[in-house]
Amino acid sequence: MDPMPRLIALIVAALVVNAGVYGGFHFYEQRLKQAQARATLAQQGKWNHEDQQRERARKQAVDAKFGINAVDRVVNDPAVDILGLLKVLAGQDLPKTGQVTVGVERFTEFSIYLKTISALPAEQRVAYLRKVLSRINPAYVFQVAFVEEDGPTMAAEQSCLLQIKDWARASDAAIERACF
Amino acid sequence: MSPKQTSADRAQLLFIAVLILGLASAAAQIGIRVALARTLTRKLAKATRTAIEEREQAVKDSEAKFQATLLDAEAAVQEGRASQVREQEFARRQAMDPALAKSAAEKRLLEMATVGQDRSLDAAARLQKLAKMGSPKGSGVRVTKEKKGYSVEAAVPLSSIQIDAHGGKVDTSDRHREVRRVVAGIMRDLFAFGASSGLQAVEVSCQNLVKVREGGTAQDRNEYLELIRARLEPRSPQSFDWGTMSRTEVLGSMRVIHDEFGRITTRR
Repeated sequence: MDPMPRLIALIVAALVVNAGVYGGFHFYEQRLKQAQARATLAQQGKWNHEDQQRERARKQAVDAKFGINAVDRVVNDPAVDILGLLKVLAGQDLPKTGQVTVGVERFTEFSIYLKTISALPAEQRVAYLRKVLSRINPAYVFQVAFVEEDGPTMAAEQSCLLQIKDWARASDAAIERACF
Repeated sequence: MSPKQTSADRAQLLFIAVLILGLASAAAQIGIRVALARTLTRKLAKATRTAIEEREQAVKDSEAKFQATLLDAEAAVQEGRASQVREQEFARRQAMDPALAKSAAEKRLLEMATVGQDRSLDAAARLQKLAKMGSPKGSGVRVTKEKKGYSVEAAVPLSSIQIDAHGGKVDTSDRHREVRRVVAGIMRDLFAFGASSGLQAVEVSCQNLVKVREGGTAQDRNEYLELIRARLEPRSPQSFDWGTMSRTEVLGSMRVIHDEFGRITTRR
């Protein structure tokens, strides 16, 4: 029998076995890497979720240290500047259809404009002023203007606002006398 | 041994040799691949461990930072730090920190501060420039040399005073309020940036252009009706801290020479 075909078959078989071993391990390594990538991705997703929850909880904890309600938290938070504080104070418990604008001019003149469809009665204006000015130094507020849509504006100016020494305790009559 | 037998034996030997070589190469290939696979597995496991360790460290660090923030927040409330920070902010605003200049009026104040320091101009020219910059467009300004310094007079046309009614209707009271504020603003700014140039007094008036038709003629004549005139003449202007002086304070200290608005303002 001619030995050559047997020899060639053997060489081919050897090459096939080698190629199979190489291919098999290569496939195995790729699977390992893919599994690792999937696990890393899943882990990262889980960590991101944990981070978000933790951040939320931490923000709540820090906020709780600053106060029990939203206004207290802003008043006590040193990161909130004068304009930010005024925006929160001026925007709380607005009358129906009320729109508020807060701005600053000439560096130090902070103004609040409360626009309503109809003129606010005096007691509501007094209550609004008290709510805002009892939580901030009145020297920062240049004016609080009550604007009636297409109607006249009533402005409580700084010179009047400064007449009230304690905005939390002053009587309504004293505020009305000083400001309107 | 016949030559045919010899050739068969040689072929047999060659076959065995190739077989051994094939098996050896397959074994070597398996060995190398197993080693590489183990290395890869170890490397991946190490990467996972490192990532977990780094994550644990990061969580630990952020927790420590959070605890510090929490303690700081508590201390901030106890110390009343928020109001201190706002006082500092207000002081920076009074000192006209350029970082806080947002509006055109604020940028104009910064420019006026630069002009107030400009020693390339003489005092009268500096005050003239400041008065122009500090008054609304179209205003007339005059700088007069006095015994002990200078006085500035500004005449502001009513039409140059813009009033933002914020959705309301502008009436005489709003106009009066705004005019008084503009007058006080001119005075305050001129003293804030011109007191060092020897400014002693500022007088500001606001006028409205009216057309007058005299009897018997068909032509209108322009007349300026002076609505308000006020003067500020502090005893020693240089001793004031004008930077912290607000328009409200100037309104309280200026002398109103006459005010026609009082006659036409309707009572609400």
